[in-house]
Amino acid sequence: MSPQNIIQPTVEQLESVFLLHKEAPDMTASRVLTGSQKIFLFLMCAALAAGLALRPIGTLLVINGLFLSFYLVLSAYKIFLIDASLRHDQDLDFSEDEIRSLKDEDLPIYTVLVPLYHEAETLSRLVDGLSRLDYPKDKLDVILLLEEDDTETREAASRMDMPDFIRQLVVPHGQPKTKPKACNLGLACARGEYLVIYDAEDRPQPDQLKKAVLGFRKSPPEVVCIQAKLNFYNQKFNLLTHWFTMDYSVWFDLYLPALDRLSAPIPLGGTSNHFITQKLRDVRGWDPYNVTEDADLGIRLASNGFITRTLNSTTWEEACSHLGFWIRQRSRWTKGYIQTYLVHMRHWHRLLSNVGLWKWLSFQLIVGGTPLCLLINPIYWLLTIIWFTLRWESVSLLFPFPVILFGLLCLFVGNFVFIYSSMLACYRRGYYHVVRYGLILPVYWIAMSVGAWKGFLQLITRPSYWEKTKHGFDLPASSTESIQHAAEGT
Amino acid sequence: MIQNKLVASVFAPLRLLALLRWRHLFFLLVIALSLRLVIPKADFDEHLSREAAIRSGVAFDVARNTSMGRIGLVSSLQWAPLPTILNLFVAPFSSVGWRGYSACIIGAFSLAVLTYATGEWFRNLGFHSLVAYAASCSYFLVPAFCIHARTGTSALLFILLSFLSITRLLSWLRSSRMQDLAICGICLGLAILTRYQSAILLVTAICIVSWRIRASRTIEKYAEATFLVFLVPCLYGVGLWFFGNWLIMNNPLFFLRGLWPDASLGFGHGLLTLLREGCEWEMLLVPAGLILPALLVQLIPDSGKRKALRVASVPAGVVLTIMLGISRPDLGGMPERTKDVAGIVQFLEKSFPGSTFVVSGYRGYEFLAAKRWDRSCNWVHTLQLDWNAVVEDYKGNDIFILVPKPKGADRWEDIQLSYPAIWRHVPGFTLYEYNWDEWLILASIEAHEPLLNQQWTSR
Repeated sequence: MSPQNIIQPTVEQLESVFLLHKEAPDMTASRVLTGSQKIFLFLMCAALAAGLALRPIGTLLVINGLFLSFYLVLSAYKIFLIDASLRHDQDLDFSEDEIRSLKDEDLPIYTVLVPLYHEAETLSRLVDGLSRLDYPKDKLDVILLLEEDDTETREAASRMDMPDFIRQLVVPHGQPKTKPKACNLGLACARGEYLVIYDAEDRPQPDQLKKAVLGFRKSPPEVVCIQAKLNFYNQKFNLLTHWFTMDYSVWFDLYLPALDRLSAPIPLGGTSNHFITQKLRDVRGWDPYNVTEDADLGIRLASNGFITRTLNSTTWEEACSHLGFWIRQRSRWTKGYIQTYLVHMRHWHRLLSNVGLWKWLSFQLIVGGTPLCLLINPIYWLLTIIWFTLRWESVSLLFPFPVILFGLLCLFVGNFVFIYSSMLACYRRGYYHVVRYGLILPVYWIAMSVGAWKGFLQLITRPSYWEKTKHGFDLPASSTESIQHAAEGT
Repeated sequence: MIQNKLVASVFAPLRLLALLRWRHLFFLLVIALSLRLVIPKADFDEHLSREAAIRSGVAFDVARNTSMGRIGLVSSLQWAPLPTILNLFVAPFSSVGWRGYSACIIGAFSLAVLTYATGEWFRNLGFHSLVAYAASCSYFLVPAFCIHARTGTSALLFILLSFLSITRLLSWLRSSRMQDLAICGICLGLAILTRYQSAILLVTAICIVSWRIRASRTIEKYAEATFLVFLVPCLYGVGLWFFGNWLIMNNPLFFLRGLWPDASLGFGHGLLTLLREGCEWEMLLVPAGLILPALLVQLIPDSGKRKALRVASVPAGVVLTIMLGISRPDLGGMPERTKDVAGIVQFLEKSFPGSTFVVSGYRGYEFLAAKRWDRSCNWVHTLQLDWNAVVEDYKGNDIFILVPKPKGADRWEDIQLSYPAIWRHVPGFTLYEYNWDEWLILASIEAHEPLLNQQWTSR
């Protein structure tokens, strides 16, 4: 690595990492709850305690009714999204001819940020994958974001013979040690008109950058972000990776394109988010304290009047195949979604005014509803088991008609729809070998709830702690070709 | 600008009005028409079918969360559960439930959706909208179909679901679109839960799907995945039904008790009777007269001839159907009515005012639909007749028990009731029996003995 390929950030660039926190601290997750949120929460708890003390059955009935109504509305909304996605192709998509029509000299500089932490073993595959991007190399500005305390990866990077389009940027050690903090520094040093984030193990489809350029060019100016689809190349590794593939197929192939069609706020997925660099700087980049900074950024873009579109191009990732690490990853996602929800509800009227009532309700269901659903699921599973096995009459008291009718609808229809839509999403993608795993998907939901509760509890104890997902279990020496074959299921 | 956005979003649903097309208005009009058709002019409509009265009654009891309702749901004679479950959404909220008309409302909606879906299907085949909707209207709004909305049977729901599954299967054969196969599977699953006999359609569909995917065997797991997408909704529906039976009656196959139409028939004969009498097959087959010509025209290469044939095929089908509809208003067989019941109610209330009338079992729900609530007579319905409990509860009253005539010695349509057993539990009473068409009226009275004329037989 030649010295000119190592970026030395200026003081200004280093300070820009916390720009959002400095200018709008309320819009970051540096504090879990603000004063008014604490008061609101306290009042809610007090009302609940008083209700339980004075009218326990009545209070539980009201809570049960509210939860079931929430389930019903969330299920109905998700069914609506699935239906919208299956009926129409929503994504931005471009033909081979359109891509070929792009001339190299007309293409802008494209910055690719790749945050790395303890990922020395993936470096060679990463460089190989980046080299395969179908984009003129002189217009490619790849920045490897290395952490100061990660000597292993830094040394491995310095030993490698890196191509010229790859630069290295060392992020100074300090708290919070999160991916968004590194990305903010990368954003400050970016040279590209457009910018995208990839993880170390990501394998984007080679023409993705060109498709994104076309997407930005053919969209109205409010479109400042394009989210590509994510899926896994190691689907077949074990049961968990099969389920995880279903999960991603539903999220990226069914839900996000439908949200795109509705122009509703889209919580961005971890990587492959393409941005207009200047617009990203205008909204002060990522929240360095939020552990799902991508989801938060998606909502913040919407609340600033910008639009996110989805792109029909896939980035192949490595699915976490180890249950322990998977639960840690899931706990971070749930924690981050709750953080994002709390941050944007601090000024709920601002988001409401900016996006309108229906999109605001969509935010409530997708960002607020998803973790809530995962957290209350185990309670209802337990109640169902108790009722079916012990026929405990006290449980029946909580389910008078028509509450029981709605409860049964959620239980039998709602759950079926989620299982079946997962199977359909995989079938549509051509992942025929994954479809059968949908039959036992509820077991995966249990693991999701375990992760959600871990994340919820961690929000209280270690709100900005980043649960790092360990990769590289599955394909230690795989070539890019084998990854491609695995991704295509061949 | 921000305020404008908020205000605009509040009024956003109004913008949906701009998306309304005349075919949506047509759909609303058909719903209104079919609902108008089922609204009764009198307290009790003699067209009301036994099925409608029973399904509405069971739904009403399920909504009241009685054990009677739950038991009724899983063992409602020969009927599958879905129409009763749909009744749950209508029955509890007004008097239509216990009067039996919630089933008619379901029927009216099914008729409207069927008419609309057929019109859409024709439109998607390339016919002009006007032709498509005129055809579907003339086809379904003939007496042979409308009568089923009036009687409230589940025939229309069955035909709707079968029609959707068949047309989606045909679409899948042409397009291989996953959505078509999925909707076909879902509709077939629901059709089986509407009429068990639809299982025949499922078997046929499985054969067709197997034949279709034989060419794609080389793709890894394609066949398995295709079958799963198709079959999972059906298996789930049937599995839930087994589960419900196990949960309520501790026997996953409990519903089979009511399924066999006549215990005296042998297996083969019984099965044939079940298939013939339990389903409106003719009604389901008749759409072929309309659908097949349209489909065949699609196979002809595009030319002026094809256009002419296409234009001619639908009117020809419509004329054929209307002629059939007019000549056979009882197409598919008329459902069993409840009209005798109204006569019995009138007779008993007039002859024995102030008495207690006990009706039991599923068929007892027919009396709930027919009786007049403003009279002083005391009508009691119980799903399982417990003679001792009735005598104890209504001590001192003149008690009349109404039971349907048995089909055999141990073959009552009421669950857990056998004909000889009823006579064993009448201590200290003189029993009189009165025949009224399909009903036996058992009078357990002595005080009014002079009132009972020679038509009453002493037991």
